[in-house]
Amino acid sequence: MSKQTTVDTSIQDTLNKKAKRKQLITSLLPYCGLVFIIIFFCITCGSKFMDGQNVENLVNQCFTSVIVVAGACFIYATGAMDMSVGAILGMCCFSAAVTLRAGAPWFVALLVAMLTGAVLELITALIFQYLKVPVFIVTMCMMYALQGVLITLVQKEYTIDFRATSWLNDASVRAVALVIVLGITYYLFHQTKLGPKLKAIGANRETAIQGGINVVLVTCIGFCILGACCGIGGFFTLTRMGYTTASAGAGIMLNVMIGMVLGGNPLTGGSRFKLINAIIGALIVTILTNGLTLMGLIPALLETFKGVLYLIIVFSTYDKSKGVLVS
Amino acid sequence: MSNSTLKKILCAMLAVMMFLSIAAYGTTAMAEDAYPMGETSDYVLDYGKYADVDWSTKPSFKIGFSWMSSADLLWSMYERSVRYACDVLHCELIFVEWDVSSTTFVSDAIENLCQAGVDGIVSGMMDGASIDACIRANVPFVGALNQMNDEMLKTANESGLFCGNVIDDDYVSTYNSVKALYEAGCRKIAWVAPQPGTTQAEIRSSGIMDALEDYPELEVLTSYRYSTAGGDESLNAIEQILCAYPELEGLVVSNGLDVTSIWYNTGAADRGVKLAVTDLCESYQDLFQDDLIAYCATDQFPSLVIATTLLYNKLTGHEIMADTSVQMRRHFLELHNYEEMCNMWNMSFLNIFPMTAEQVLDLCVEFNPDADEALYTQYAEDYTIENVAASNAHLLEACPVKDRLG
Amino acid sequence: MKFVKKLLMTIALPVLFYLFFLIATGGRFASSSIMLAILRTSVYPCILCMAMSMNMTMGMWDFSIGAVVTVSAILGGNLALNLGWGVPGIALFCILIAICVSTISGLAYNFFKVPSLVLSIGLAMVYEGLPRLFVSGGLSTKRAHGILSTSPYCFIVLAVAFVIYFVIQTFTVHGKNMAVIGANQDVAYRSGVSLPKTKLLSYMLTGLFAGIAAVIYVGNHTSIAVPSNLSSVSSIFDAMMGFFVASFLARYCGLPVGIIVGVVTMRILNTGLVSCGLSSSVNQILTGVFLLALLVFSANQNLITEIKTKRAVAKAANEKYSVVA
Repeated sequence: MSKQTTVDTSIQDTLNKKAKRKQLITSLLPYCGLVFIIIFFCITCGSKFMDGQNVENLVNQCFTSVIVVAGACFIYATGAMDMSVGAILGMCCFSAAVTLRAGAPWFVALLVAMLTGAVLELITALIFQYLKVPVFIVTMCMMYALQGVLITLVQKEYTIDFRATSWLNDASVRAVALVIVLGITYYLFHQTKLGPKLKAIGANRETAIQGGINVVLVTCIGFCILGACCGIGGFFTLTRMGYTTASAGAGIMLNVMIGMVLGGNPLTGGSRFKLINAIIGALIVTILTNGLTLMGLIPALLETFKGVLYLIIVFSTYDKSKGVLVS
Repeated sequence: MSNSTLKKILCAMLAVMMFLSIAAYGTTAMAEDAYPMGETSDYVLDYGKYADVDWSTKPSFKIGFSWMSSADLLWSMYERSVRYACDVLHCELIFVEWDVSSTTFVSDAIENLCQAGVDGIVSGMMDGASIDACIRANVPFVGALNQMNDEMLKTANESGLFCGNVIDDDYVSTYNSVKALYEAGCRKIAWVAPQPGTTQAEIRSSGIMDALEDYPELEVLTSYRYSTAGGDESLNAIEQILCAYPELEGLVVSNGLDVTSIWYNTGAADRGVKLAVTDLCESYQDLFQDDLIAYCATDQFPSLVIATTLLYNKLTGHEIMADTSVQMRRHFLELHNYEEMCNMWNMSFLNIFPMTAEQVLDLCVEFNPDADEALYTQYAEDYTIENVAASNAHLLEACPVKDRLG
Repeated sequence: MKFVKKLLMTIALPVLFYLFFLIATGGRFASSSIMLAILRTSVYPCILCMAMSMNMTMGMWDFSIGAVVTVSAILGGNLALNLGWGVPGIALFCILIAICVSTISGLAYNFFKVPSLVLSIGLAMVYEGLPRLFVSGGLSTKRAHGILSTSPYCFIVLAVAFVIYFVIQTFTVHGKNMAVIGANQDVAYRSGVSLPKTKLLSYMLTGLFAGIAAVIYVGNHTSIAVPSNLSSVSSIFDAMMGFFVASFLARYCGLPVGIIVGVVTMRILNTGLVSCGLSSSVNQILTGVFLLALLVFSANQNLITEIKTKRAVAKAANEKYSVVA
């Protein structure tokens, strides 16, 4: 082998090692971030943060956002995003409330909520796929329309028999539900062909089509899974509150986006997308709010603090390989 | 544009930012009449006959309060009111803002308060999980401002920790709004209310509906239910109504909206269109001065103070409400003219709270053994602008009538 | 003829909506005061749309514009009032602060090298919290301070903003660079367009228009609350919808005129629905459906032509190559 080839190979090896090291650091950063804030709050808040009651509180508080974020991975991996998540969650809440009020058992109400979410997301997916309108716009229009429908349907606080379903608010029940849902979504995303297909669409849609992926079907399945997760989130939101209103779920859309980003997932989707990262991001958001409140941080500083932390994490974890060509 | 030009622009911008910072530092405190957030509410504490109380022998508690963002002068009044009650009672306040990006922000806040180790909770809203959190932590709780739905009331009552719910008379306020327009001579009116979806919105709307039935001479030209999701939709709708109906004589608005500019821009002020509104807005002073407000119901803030006293009584082992399933209603202050508004403004938004410290302690058994439910009811019924101004007369004398911008 | 066709296509939507509501409201919609109200309430979203379009034409989403407007309104307004500079001071400080804040956004974007959507969410959170560090009660002004948002002054402000925007988009190199980047960023980069410089300038211009929008915002509201929990993001959706309509109309009249016509169209729709006595729920449903229908049409309007062309080609091929028995 010539000297030049040897030099080239060693340069390449060095570059490969650097790239691998950088990738390792980037992939570990969300975990480090989570561990860091947990340790930070353990030190600053003492036993208040890590005692059993607060762990239960955290399970309850993170439940809906983690479930919805897990479902959102199936569409964010394709580079899409859904502005109508909040409105769909509200519709799922309402459909579950109607079902419970009609005397149906809780699992029927849960199924109805999941079905409602899946159908609404399917409609979104079909419009976006077949009518060729950008997904952001479709979901924004759906958000407006569904909010209007929700206001028309929910004339006042729509209550359910809170005590009959309050056992579902138990942290252990929610923890079990969380494990089941996350287990299923993890399996679907990482152990079946669905996940790689979704990531392939996110990486390059045309290549995915040429590679034989039924993009329409796969995307629709992804949206339906998100809808089902919204249904689960909506059902448990209803049981936690004991009633639903026209504005139920209104703020969750941005929380989902923030969770994705904080976990280090690219919003453009692609091969680097991981479910676990999104879950970590959602957990970080919840733990931050919980911990900063227990610390006694005055509300005036809370939002600025969260924003600065968000920017630091984005700077540290986001892929900057596009350089000036980022958009 | 060349790089050097861009650099020059950026340097100029830096210079501008430095100038702005110096200018800001050099001026007096921004928004002089805004409440400076701090450890106390900054209200004058007039203890009256309780001036000699030995506070070292009295119990002190940690009170938790959760509510919406307190970043606005009006919205900060809610926290300031509870802080005032805590100042009077020598208790500590822990305030938690709702994080509305969560689907269950009310229960999240209550859980965090319970975890922070509070002795009692005052909350503007309660849901099922909030009540359960209080039960788990064995923390008494009291509601204020918003009517609770029947299901939540039932759940709260069963807990044994519920002190009651103190609400403003939303129904009466909107009913009286319509009545005031009628008495002002308006016959062609319109009404604007938030979209249905909460108990409070429903109650306020029902007040309007019932009043319209009782006053059939009133002709309703149009009505509008606006979205509370944010943005200027409600203001745009009111502007459009004022323009579309030049024959309009009066408008009922069931929630305080900043309509003053619109009133003058659309010529409604020139036409003498009257406004009847529940909830005060800072800018209504101009409308009051020009006699364009027929009725304004305001001052929800004492509901929080009364709720805090109910909680304090519970914490000191005294139950005031015999039946907590009955929600305690308290009158709004009804303002009809400019002087009443200025009095209200000085009292609430500067440094004189409508309820004196003496009146607060009168409601606490720990200081006044005769405090009971009848006293609370009496106080609620006697709550008018005239009585409040009279009880604060000596403080108002020292503070001349001032409008909101000095 | 082409010009006439373009003109007709540009004004078709607003005219159709206006005529529809004229009939639906039994002539009530015909009053000049309603038209004036429509135009007056269009001023703020028009200027905000111009601000947003600076980045959106390059494919960059910026969710922090609402927060920039509010920050500059609150801080600029308070500064002006405390210095006693009145309306000119409000205008000056709102614009200056908005430009400064947006420049920071632009510098952060070039430094962070992350997608603008991701960055803007974090910046929105920081900007929303910023006024609370300086003022506690938001902004309170007198009615006289809002003169620039009253007619005819608001139209003068809009006209000035429009002229600046039109000149930038049409006659400046920067405007062309933005269009090229929006068409194909890679090609623009390889052609020698400086992406960081262009994007930074765009952010600064966004700040200029956001500052002008803040001046109108101060006039429309005698008291402004500090936003929180990303509530400022929802305040820009109306302007965003106007931008989408403007993008559809841009092929006939160009983006600057398209923005004015698009926003006015949305306002006619909203006003008409209110005038018909329909509540906000119906308003929202119809607005969402209308926008979707418009964009579906826009995305698929060549479909019929394509199908006809394909059929014609197929017919010609059949005629040419079929064997007659």
